[in-house]
Amino acid sequence: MKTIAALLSLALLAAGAGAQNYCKSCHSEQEVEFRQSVHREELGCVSCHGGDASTAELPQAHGKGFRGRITRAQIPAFCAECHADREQMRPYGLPTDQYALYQTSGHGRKFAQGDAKVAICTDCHHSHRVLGRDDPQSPIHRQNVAATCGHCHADPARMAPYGLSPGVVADYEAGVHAQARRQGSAAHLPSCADCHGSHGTAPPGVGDVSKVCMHCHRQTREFFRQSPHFKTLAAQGHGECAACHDNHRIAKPGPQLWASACATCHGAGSEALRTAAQIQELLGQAQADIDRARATIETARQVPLGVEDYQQRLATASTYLMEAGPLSHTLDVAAIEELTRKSRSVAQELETEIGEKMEVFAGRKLVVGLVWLYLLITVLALQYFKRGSR
Amino acid sequence: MSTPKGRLLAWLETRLNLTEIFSFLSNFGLAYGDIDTRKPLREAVDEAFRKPLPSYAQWPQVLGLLTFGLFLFQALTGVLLAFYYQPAPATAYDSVLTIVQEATLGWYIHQMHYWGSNILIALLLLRMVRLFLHEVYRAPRELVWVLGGLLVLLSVYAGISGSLLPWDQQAYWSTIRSLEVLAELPFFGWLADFLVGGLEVQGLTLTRFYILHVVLLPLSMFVLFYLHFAAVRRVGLSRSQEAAQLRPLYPDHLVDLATLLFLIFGVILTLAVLAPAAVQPEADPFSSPAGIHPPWYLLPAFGLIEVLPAGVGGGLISAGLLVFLALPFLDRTPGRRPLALVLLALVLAALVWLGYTGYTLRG
Repeated sequence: MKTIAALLSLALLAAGAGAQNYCKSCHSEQEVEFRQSVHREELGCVSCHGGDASTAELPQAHGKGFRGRITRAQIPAFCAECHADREQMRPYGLPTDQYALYQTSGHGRKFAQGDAKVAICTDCHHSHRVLGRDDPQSPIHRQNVAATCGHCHADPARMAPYGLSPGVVADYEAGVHAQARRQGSAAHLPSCADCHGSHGTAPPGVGDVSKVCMHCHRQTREFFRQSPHFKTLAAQGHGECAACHDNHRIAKPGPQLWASACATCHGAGSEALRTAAQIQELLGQAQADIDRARATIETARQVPLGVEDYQQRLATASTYLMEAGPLSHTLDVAAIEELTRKSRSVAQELETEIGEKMEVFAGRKLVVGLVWLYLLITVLALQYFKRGSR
Repeated sequence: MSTPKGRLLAWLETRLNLTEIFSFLSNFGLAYGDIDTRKPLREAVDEAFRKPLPSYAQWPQVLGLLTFGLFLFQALTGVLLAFYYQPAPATAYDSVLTIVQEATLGWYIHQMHYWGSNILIALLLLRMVRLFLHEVYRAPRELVWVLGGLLVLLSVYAGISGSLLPWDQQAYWSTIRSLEVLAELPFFGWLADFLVGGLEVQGLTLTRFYILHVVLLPLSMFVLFYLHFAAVRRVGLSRSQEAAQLRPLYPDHLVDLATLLFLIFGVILTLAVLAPAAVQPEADPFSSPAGIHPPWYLLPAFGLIEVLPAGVGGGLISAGLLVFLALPFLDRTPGRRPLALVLLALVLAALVWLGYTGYTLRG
């Protein structure tokens, strides 16, 4: 009996000593947010705000060591107390250079000058509901970054004092990268931070754009270096990629770009435009052949013919054309033509082959005709027999 | 009896009651009236063939016979398909491709089985309209109606279970639409859960649908056809049975029947070639293609469920089915035909409208 009583009192003591949090009796909203945070396991209210969570008495709770609300001016340095400390971050495998990077960024430099309206840690990460970047609900999740940046950068009122265009986010959303990302085709497609950085945010200069694009489009840049444009554009102080593809509203590349982009610099009737028209035609023809072959394969599949082999060959034809895209940056018509010729030859060949096979199946209608002929003759004979036997 | 055929017949006759077999077959519309099973086959057949036909066995009353012929056609083509078909998710689609691409005449058999099933259901439905118009549900013909109605339901079930078997996108997703309809029905809703055999349409569903489609449903339909014909032979199909008896069974009636069967075969073949069901890509539970509907015979129910609030549509369909089956016991007073015709027209118009709604919704 004594043992049980002793155990019970121990259990009660343990429960009492457990972190009974009285903050939430007044700050329930913050409590709900904090409970979803990545900080919830290791930190509590008092870790940042000080005071005493174990009492509901306000004088004691907001008493010793209480810091209260942390102001915007304090936040970056405050977060850095832990996040720039290598010892503390090591168990989580987190980098510790975010604060240093932040101080070099456009945001951080303005902040240092006393502008408290620029983005600070909590604007992107939230204050209480800090979510990991892999959490789909997190504002810094890859799919949400554009919306998070757009919170300020798409707001004309906020951008006006800095002379920045509020249209960049809408432009990006209309571009090929955002479209593909929305369709879920590839989660790795770039968003704002991939070109501009996250903590060390700074817009790439005109000369840097090509290097930023090159992170992914390395081969294309190599081809571009071989073209006459490479030196001319650099000499004239134009960006490389953005000159034709734009920087935020990046259009899906294809034959049509050769008609629109080249004419912005080159005059009508010029040699350059003739070359552009040639390249456009080569790429367009190959694309048309591939589209036609794809439609034929679809028809054959419904017949149904076995089309796996054709689909693989169509993929080969598409690959040749896909190679021709980057290569076209050299403006080497002969080299482009070699690839588009291969692409077209594969596409045309498989279309001819399917056509021959389809002829066999066109015979089905003939079969129907013959069967009807047989049926009618039989029916007539039967009816004749019926009459005769009366 | 000195010909080899005659000798074989005599040899068999002493060992088998061939007349009894003939008598059993006549249950499916081959012959009419009683057959004396004590007589030798030749005599019994001659007698049956010479017998003038009761008027109820003439056009348009042959729809039932036609549906049975079609049922046999489905059984035959179905058996041929089953020679190649493998009912498991890993192999089903490939085996269907083998049937339509490689097996001799496989494409024709596959397409004709598909069209045959649609025409069979359509003819069974048409036949119910015919029975209603001619009041073939009044006493003592209640069972003719009820058994005919059950045949419609079973054929629809056979259609649903069969449409999953190709295991392509169309098959998979149209089955899901069909099950959405079934799951809504009170009294019948549990069937959907039972048939799926899990939380989603998967391997066990295919196994269950296969065994339903090739064994349980055809067998039940065969028994129903037998009972249905037995009822018809007892009570006749027409209220004017006493009308003049015109033509002999053979050759008039049998030749006409053969003619009809030939023609319907031609129609099925023509539809198969001119409007073949496309083989879609293999079933993918994670990618729902646009524009997939349940089969046409479920479209009115699908439309009703989409139009009305949850629970109401399913209740109405169940109630409608019960009224449909129990019609002979609900409408006992003869006369009032104009009212009945107006009701029939309204029901048909509502079905067409709901079917159209079901087709356009979620297209």
